[in-house]
Amino acid sequence: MNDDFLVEIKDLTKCYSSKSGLLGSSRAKLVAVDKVSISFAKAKTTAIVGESGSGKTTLGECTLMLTKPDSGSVLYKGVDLVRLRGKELNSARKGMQIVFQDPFSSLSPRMNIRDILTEPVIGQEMYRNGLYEMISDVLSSVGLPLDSLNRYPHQFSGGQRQRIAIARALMSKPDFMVLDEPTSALDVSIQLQILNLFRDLQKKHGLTYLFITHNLAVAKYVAHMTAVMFSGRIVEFGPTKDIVTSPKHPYTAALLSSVPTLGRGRTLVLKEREEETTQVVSGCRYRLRCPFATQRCTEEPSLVQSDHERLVRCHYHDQIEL
Amino acid sequence: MEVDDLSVEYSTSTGITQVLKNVSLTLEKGKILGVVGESGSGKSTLGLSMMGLLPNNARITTGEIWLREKIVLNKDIAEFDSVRGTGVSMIFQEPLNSLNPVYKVGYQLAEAVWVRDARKKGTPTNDLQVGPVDYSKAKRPSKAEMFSSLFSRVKITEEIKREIVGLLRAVRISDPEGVINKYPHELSGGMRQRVMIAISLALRPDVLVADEPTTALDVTTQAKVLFLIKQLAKEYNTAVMLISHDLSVVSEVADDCQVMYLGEVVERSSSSTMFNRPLHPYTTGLLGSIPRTYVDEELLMPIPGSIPDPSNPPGGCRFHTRCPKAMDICRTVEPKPVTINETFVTCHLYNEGFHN
Repeated sequence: MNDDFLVEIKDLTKCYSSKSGLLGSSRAKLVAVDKVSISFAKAKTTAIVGESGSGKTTLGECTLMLTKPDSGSVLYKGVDLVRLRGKELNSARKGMQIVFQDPFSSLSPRMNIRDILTEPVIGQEMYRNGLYEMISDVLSSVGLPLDSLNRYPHQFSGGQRQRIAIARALMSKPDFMVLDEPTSALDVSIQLQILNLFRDLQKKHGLTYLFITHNLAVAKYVAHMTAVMFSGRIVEFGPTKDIVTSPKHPYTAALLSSVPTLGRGRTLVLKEREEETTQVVSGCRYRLRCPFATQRCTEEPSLVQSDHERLVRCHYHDQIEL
Repeated sequence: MEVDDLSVEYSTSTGITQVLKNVSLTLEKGKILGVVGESGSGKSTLGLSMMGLLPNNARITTGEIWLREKIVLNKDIAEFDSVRGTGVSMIFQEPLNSLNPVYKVGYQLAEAVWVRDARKKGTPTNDLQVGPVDYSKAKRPSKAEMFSSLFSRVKITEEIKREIVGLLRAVRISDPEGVINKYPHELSGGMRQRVMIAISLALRPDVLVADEPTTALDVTTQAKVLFLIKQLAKEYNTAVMLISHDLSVVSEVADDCQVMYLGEVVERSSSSTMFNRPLHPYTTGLLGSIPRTYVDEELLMPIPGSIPDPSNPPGGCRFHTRCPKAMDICRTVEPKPVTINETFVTCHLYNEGFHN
């Protein structure tokens, strides 16, 4: 176990089987996360970027053991969470928390803010000692007034609700947080407020974030490291700045070119072939959409080191001009 | 299409809320107008009123909407029966909710083609509502009536089939013959939105209102759908109004841009002017809130606070509670719109300069 990393994921795989046909006679297997290994550096933000269906949310859920992976390991402070069950698991992952995408469905409409914030710490020492101080601390750090305690989620706007969800996550003093598209449901001006809040909290509490998003511009704003996922696999990993300025995988380049620019016109043209396909292919998963695909791409590419700290899964990463 | 001085109110249990205040705009053939605002800015209400789809508790207090030299909406009349679909068509945010889940995609496209042709021939397409509709008195048709009125009449002939396959191809669906036999739930989000666009295309409307058409989609799909909308505006000479909360989305495709805040238009100009020389502090704030991949920014400053309750808007300039440049006059006096170098702006900063 390397001390620089708070969480290390090794060869994590999760499959979903979908039943079809009469009485579920035929089963199709969908590999949502396919042997992913990634480590999260302490007090840093690592972004997972990809389109829907790339397995980024499943990876986030598996990291917290909200979804049980089929194989692989999740090391958190040196403990493999995958092997633990029940109470052991719950106490081992106490320092891990999650903030979901939609603040409208992740807060119970029947609990007031006091109840929402108290629930994570019921039964803990803090519940008897200094609960009120903790609640007022947390509320002020997410920028909500103290008098919101007796109000209910529906009395708040989307941005404020997301602040409540963040406050709830902070109550159990986590050191690792999974943020699953926390700003996608919000207006742009509010999105920036929340992103800045995450940055402030990280500075203050030394939090480690796994930040899931589909927008590379957002990743660039918050993340130190970025992993680009496509069809259950990491296709590129490295420091966010490098990835955004010089992508090495064709898919990263396509993602980058589709981020809207402001009144600058396109800096890059869309470099994808037209076909949209959801079928699972052998070899390189991206080859049906890749403009550079050749016969060699039917062979599986492996994740290789390209630069210092940079990993790419493409046969031609050092040959193509992106 | 022209919207002139339109004001709309909603009456709710808590009182009357003014959601649109003296909004005017013109949509020109083949051009895209972007309408930007946060939730609560009234941009969706504007879209709905242009389709004549305002809810029952809405009331038009001033202004009117014109389509091809004819008033279609003002405080007394709402004549959308003959133009909805073929005159004005709309793409909604969530394509799964706007397609009918119990009919195949091909059928829904065929219906659009049929309505268009029937209207051209003058056959009534809807027996249920003839003449002006008064929102407060309109009788809701029963479900049985709704079904029998339209769906029983559409037959997919070879000719229609050829046309809808062509339409699906126009929106870049790779396997149109397969897709027409599928139900909406079998398609991905991007595909559904393409089908919605194909339906709008089939109707060949003069005006297309796209209300957050890409918000539910991934960035990669978003780019493709936006590109498609732009292409269609040019090819079919359709006037498009693109509603979004994201200025960057609008900047991609719109020719002209209009920013709304709490039911008012605060700034309007051509896209390039808006993004290079924004005047209103709200526009500047919105532009500054968007992270970009190509600029090295350490910390961006968001607009502080959130949008005030629309039922109780602040007096004076409505933006003064969040404005970094608010002056005393902003708290009491409503700014008058001025035009500076072809930019229409509602802000005291420029009012003053104007008088001096």
